[in-house]
Amino acid sequence: MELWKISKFSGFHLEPPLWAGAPSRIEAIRGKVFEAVQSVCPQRARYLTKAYMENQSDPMIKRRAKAFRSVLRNIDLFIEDHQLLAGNYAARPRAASIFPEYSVNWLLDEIDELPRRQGDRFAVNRDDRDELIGIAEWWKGKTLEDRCLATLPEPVLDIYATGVLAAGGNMTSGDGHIMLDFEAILREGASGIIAGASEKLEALDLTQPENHHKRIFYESVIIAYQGMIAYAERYSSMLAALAETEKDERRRAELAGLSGICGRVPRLPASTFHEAVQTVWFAHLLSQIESNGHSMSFGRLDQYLYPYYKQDLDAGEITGGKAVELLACLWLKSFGVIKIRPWSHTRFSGGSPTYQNLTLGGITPGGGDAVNELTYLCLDSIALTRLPQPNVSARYNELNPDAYLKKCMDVIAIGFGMPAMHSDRMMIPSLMDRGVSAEDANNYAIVGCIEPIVPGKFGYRAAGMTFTNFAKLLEIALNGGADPRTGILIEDPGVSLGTASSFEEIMTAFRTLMKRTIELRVQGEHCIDFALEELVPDAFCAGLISGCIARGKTPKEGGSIYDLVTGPETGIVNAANSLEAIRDIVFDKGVLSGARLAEILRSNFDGKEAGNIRLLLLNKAGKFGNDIDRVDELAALVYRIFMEEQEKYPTARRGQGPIGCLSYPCTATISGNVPSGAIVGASAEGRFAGEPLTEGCSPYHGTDKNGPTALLRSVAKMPTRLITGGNLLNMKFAPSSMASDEGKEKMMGLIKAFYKLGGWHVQFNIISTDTLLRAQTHPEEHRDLVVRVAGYSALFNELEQSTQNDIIARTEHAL
Amino acid sequence: MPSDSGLIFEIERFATFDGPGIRTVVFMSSCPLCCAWCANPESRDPKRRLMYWKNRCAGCLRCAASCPAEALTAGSGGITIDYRRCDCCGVCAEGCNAQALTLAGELMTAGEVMERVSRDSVFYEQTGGGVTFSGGEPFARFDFLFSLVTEARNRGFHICVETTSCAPKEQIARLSPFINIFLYDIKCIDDAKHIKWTGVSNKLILENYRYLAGNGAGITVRMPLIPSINDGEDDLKQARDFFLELSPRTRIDLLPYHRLGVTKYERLGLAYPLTGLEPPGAESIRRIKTFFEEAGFTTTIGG
Repeated sequence: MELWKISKFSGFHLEPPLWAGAPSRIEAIRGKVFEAVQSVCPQRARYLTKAYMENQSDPMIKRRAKAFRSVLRNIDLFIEDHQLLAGNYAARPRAASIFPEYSVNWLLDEIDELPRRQGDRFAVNRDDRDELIGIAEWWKGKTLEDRCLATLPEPVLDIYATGVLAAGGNMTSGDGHIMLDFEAILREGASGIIAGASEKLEALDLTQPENHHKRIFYESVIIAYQGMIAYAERYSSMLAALAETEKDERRRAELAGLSGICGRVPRLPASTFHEAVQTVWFAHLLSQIESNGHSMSFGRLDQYLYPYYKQDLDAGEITGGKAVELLACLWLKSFGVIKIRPWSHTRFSGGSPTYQNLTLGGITPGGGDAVNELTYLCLDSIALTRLPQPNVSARYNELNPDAYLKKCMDVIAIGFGMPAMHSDRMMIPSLMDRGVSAEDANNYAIVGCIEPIVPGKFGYRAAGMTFTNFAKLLEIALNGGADPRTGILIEDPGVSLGTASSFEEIMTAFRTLMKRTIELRVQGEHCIDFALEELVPDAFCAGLISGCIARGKTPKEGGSIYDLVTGPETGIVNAANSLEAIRDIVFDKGVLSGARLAEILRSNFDGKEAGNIRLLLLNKAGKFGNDIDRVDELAALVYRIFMEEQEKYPTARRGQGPIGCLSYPCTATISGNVPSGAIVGASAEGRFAGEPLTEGCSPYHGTDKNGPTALLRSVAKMPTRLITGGNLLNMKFAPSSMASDEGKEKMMGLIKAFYKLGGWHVQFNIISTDTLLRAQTHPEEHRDLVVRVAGYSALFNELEQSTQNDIIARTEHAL
Repeated sequence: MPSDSGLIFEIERFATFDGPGIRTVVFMSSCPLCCAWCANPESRDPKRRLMYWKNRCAGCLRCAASCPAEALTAGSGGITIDYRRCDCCGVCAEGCNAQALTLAGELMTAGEVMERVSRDSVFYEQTGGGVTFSGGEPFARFDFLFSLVTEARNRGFHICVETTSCAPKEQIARLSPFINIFLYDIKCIDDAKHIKWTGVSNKLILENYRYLAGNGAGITVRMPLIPSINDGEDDLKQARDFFLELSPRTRIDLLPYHRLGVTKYERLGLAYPLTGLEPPGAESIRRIKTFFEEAGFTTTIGG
């Protein structure tokens, strides 16, 4: 009922009988997905390793392409009941593949822990375990991680050990964060990609030395796409065989139809909407079987699939309801891609997320309104599946109709945090500042969480390079340049919190440490980048990244049109709040000395007096997120200090062809704020040792006391246009705020105003009744929970219990 | 107190229930009424008052030692404030790191208030919002309200005033051309009842309503629903007939009684007058809403 209501809001009317059929199919598949236990599948590792052993004499890219093809020729196939799309990540539902070429040390250490670790558990059966251990033994010393560890300079390893920088994910899981040129595979098919590579291959003058590598590159691309075709053809045969034995007439027709589709695509260009969705899924899936990085994203699916939808609609071959069903099948497929990560990396990416982003709305490359019927159908299908994947991003441009924004609000009101809202007004000029052409900038899509890239034209690692922990960096700067936890000295700035005679000296120490940190960060990134380039080149992905075929090289070698990378920065707000507390309480007001404060922080606010000083720091010094200019300006300054250092250094692709070859800031910290906080001692903002850091540019929990408009103003005061990698903000609202159309219109206005102020991204968590009930039993975790009732608002935890109960009752009523 | 300054006890940003769009509500101190169900008791008197947030108190007792008036004593249940001694100097609140002691009320000029209100102007523009003056009773400090409305007007803001309009008609008439919407509080039509529960006659309130409705002012009626006090059949019929006669197309916001004020009374050291009263049930609220809707009024729950 609820979903039907939402669909009507879109202004796009689905035929009720068709719509009534879609949910039952989708609910059936969805139910099975949640029943399946997450497990580990050894098949990719098995066939890949075998091919690696057999082709030792090949150059790495060719050896890998053969291994990829071998996996696709051998991995067991299956199709879920009711599914309308073919292709799976592993040999059984909700199973994670293993990528031994990236790292095996963790597997050998942790395989028996996988079923019982604290989060993201995986079942491993006995045979699979033994096989995987055998495979891992062969890989020992040959992996990407082994190469990185062998080449990283000592000071870089030291700073990784302090936790100021974290790059473990890059070494164990690889790059990812890339978006294929889906339009190319839809238009040309795999046979077209092969033809393009063959043509370039034949034209090479092999007397020229630079063409040696190109030849191998083109041969590898051809092998990879042969693998793709073979995989689809295997499906076609399997589905035809299943159709023969299928008893249910309707399902038999579906299986036979899908068999036909897999016989044509992705080999040939797509000619119907169903073929187009199947082609997108094959390409998107195979890029995730080829390499281990996450955040492989769909890009602007409502744009590139629209012509196929329109053509079928005009021909009477499809209805809105059928399109919603196929899209929902696609999201269920993408939810089946499960990443298994070492425990250390899992803590930064809790919940096995794969960050397969889907971008909707915005404007066309030419600058016109891009919202179309398929945009609304995508939102309908997302509301139907309500899954953590794909990660849905809605672009908002002033040219977009209010009906679209309203539709986004309807989906947000369901309460699973999607879509996230992105501002064209800021992202387009920010990309153009970095050298992206106007047409390409207009065409941006989100990769991973909030990072805008140009579909099919950016290389790897548009995000997630190295985590830089500002709170840890400040702790070390205040401690004379040495880490109190490990004793490692990064660089002595000449002062400490105990000895500084002015706030300027503190800021100078912070700058000194930042300068050194960025030098080490860049050194580490070069080591990892060159190891990735050499050991895990991806011919399949390269075939669908614009520029690679023309230049005859992988994105990692500089094949892409643009090379712009980021690594998230975490704890910026904690560092700013702490610096403000030091400036205000120690230097401006002189309430206590720097030496005394240093002692109190070392004690983790132990004892009654220190506890009271903690309250002073927490409550009396200004905090980011309250529209207090001096604090907000300090936060901006802290981030600028980082930017000034970062912009000095090019990426490893400098001079190799791409535009840019630079890295820029990003605050998409994913769940990294929790482990990043675990290693930081007590901080001067009043934070206890080990507590999580702030997430993205969100305020430190419970310290934003002036409401959403003040928070949005604070966030908009950051140097947002320079944060081309994205500035992340999560906000919580009560369901009542979105319950009525009037409430939704106010939220739409809130978003528009935020973007006018210069905001980048905002995502809404609609607080459920469950949360309110939890807040009653665990008030300490919900200090910032504000409840609003007619003309009166209050912190939930400061209300008498009967009033809280009253609000819970009312909230349910509002829903 | 100069005419362009007054006591403000709260400025609430992102108010979404007190007029159209996203608004900032300026709560002004002082009120001629003394409603038994008042949710903002700190707003009645035109003076500051010390508030004690027991749940925040860290028990350090530094406040008791620092109070120049010796108005604070420590007991087993926390701090006790002797309001006869307390002169609201603010020394204790300044020194309380836990923010368990705070002063309600801040003396501000109209310019200072508007500087704060203007911060959210972009949010007003995008949503058709603006500023709402509330209280207390904003007309109780007419000169200050006049300065505030003038300042808001000069900045082009949409202006709402939440008021009982228990004030001289000349004052109402003078400001009404500048006010986009009066959020007009009507408790009940029966005067004896009004005197009993608010301490004042409603004669002036109803006369001013007649005047504003007759002059085409923008009005949204706000009617609290206090069980057993003003939600009887006669009360509702009288209210309905009054609005039908004067403003048959007006919007009515029904504000069901809630107990959110209880904690506040405790913090202010005041006794809560309606101890045993329970909020109205959902069924009763729906019935009353239907009653007004059937008479042709656009009716909402909670504004």
